[in-house]
Amino acid sequence: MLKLSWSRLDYRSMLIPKRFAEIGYTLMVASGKGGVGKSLISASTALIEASRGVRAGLLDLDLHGPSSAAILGVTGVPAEGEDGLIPLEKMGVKVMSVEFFAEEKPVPVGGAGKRELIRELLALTDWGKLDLLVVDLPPGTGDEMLAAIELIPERRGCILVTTPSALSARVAFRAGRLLKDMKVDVLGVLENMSAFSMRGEEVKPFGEGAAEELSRRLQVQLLGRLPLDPEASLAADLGKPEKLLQTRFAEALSEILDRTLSLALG
Amino acid sequence: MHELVIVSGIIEAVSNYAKQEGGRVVRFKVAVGELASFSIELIRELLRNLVKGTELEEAEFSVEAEKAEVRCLSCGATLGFSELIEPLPEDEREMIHFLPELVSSFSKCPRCGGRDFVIESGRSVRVVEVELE
Repeated sequence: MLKLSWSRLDYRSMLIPKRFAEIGYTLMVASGKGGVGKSLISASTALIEASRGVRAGLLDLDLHGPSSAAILGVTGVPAEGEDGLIPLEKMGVKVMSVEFFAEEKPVPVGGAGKRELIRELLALTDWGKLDLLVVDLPPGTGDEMLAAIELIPERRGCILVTTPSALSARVAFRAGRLLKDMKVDVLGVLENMSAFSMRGEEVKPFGEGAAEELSRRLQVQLLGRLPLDPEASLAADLGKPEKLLQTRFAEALSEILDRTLSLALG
Repeated sequence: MHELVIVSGIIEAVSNYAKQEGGRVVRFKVAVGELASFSIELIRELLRNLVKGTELEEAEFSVEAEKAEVRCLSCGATLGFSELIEPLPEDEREMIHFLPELVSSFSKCPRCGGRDFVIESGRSVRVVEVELE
């Protein structure tokens, strides 16, 4: 059972473990730097798994720059039910994001306030039974990652996303190290934006080798490489998940997820 | 009506606390923060109904309002409900009702225009006292 460092009299300390008791596996998606495609990977993972019949949820904890709900084209305000706030749903994916409440307004919340907000979201969101909850974390090792590690107790793992850039991989190492130090199961490194095709030739705009080096240093698997796919980017910009599912990006991710999540999802 | 799940959580937290401490709850006190705009009467009514059949059934309880105090880190002003919440339209108040930290998304400091807030009190519903025997 979850050990909580905050008040034993806080209603959220009772509600959060109950929510997670209903969730089979929680997959955190993390990175060192921003702009590596973490939200696209998070949203696509939930979407691909839901399309296979998995009961999937997507929680966007990127409080300052939420975007995974927009990638799936989900908008609206969650309704209140007797058991809490009911996530919005798209193509079988249940989605919760601070974006639903703040809309386009900034969310200038710092430090302790972020932890409060995350506790509230985790305590009040009524996911029901899920096989998989994907958590889109912001880049880096800030409060959101620390709160997720603290509050998501068991049956959890993490994918670390990087581009082939040495800089991106170098910063991702810090996040990976923290996750490992805090006993989170790092399933492996996922390289995004690896290459694209131009006139029949494969172009690697950000070089190669850094993701291998990152996985070697962290002693985790290199899970695979995802293409730089303008069609996936366009589908995400337009919030068209049905189009996103048909892209080369989704096809490549789907193969990686087959290998990576089969054990976790039983 | 997410108040229902919050009150259930409060009852469970107080019961669990008493169990861990090896005591019986004689009375407990709940503070309802202004920021989240909960109805005190509703929280009281839910508590009255939901304690039935629990270890807390015989315990006395009180429910009191807790003033909202929000400090603006830009100018140091301490702001309250009348400055931050009252001027807002109903739909924006409702978002803060769900997630009180979003006060910084919807309100500005009336003195300096800043949004760098720290909620010091009156955030949401919390247990402030438990007396065991």
